[in-house]
Amino acid sequence: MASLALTQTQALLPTLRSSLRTWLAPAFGSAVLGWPGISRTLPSLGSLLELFPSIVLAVPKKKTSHSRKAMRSANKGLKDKQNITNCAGCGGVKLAHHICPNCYSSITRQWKAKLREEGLPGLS
Amino acid sequence: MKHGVAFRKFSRTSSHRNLMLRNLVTSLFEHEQIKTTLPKARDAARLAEKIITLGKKGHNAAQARASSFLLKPSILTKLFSTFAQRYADRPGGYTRIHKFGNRQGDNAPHAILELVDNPRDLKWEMTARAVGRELLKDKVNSDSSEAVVDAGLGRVVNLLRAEKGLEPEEKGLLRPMTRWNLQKVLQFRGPRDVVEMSKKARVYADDLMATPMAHQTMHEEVKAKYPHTPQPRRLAGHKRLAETRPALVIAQGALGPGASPPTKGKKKRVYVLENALTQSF
Repeated sequence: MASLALTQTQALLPTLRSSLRTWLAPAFGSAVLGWPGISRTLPSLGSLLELFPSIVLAVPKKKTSHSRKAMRSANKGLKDKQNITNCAGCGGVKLAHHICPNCYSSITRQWKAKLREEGLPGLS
Repeated sequence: MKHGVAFRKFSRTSSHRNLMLRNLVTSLFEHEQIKTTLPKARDAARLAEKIITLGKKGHNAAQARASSFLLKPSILTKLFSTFAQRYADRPGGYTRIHKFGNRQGDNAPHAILELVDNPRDLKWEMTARAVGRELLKDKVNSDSSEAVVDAGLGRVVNLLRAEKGLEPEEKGLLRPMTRWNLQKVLQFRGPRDVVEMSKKARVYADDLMATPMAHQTMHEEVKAKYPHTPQPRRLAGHKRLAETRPALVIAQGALGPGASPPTKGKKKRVYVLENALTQSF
């Protein structure tokens, strides 16, 4: 029903607009709110006009297909790490300019074992 | 424009930030080695150096300033005795930062901040390991496998003394980077520490030879129980002794460039030694 009313008013709009302007001017300019006929029709027409904003938002015209999406993200993947070297101590792999986690763990384990032998509190 | 904004804010008010950094420096002096994020380590290191300089000056004003900075009074005595003595000859550069990957949990870059020449010096330990590995590699190239397994590295003190005196452009036994690290680590230490280093290197070389044998023994024990157990695989990218290819190529395995390494001359013997220890595992 609402859509039917909308199409009807849409067709009527060009003709209504000029008369609406003449109605609106006295309605807002002076205090003729007591007139029963106008007070019933005016708000409905005003709210209907707000349904047609002068600015139209930009929206995609077509759905992005799987192929297009795949093509777009073809170069978005993770890059391979190139900063991988061998540890000079154990020969394992490690990040360049970082300490070898493997060697670090074995060294700290030795320290902790030594502290435990001496009966001292462990490393914090 | 970033003018006059030299240091980090750490998303904290200045009082919060200053207290955090003082706390970090105090912990560093207490434990001589701390683990924190890389930016915090960099800022704390800068302040720690200044405080150690105060410790070296040692006069009353320096004591007053140091005591107003450090959060534990017990650290003050350590600063004005131990550190002042240890760094008497060193013109700055009392701290060292090791990057340590990214932290579990928030993936923040992690770092180990330590005082140079502290009793648990990580660079000292790592250099000893590198020296041990490289000398063992050289030994294996020159001697027979049986002799190396029997005798290990032998005495290497004189060798290290010679390496300590070499200039950068001269050719020695160690790799240039390892030799540089050795020289830096020994620079402000006494002659007894060369002996200590050689001992550590020798022990580590024995470790290197014993590890594959231990693995093999463990594997055989499991295999005695479950006969279909396959040989354990070598870790991807692991560099065996005398391997010359870089880590990335080793990790690519049979797909990498130069997949079948040339096995002629002395190199072959190294592979034979490792295979003898591990039966091609």
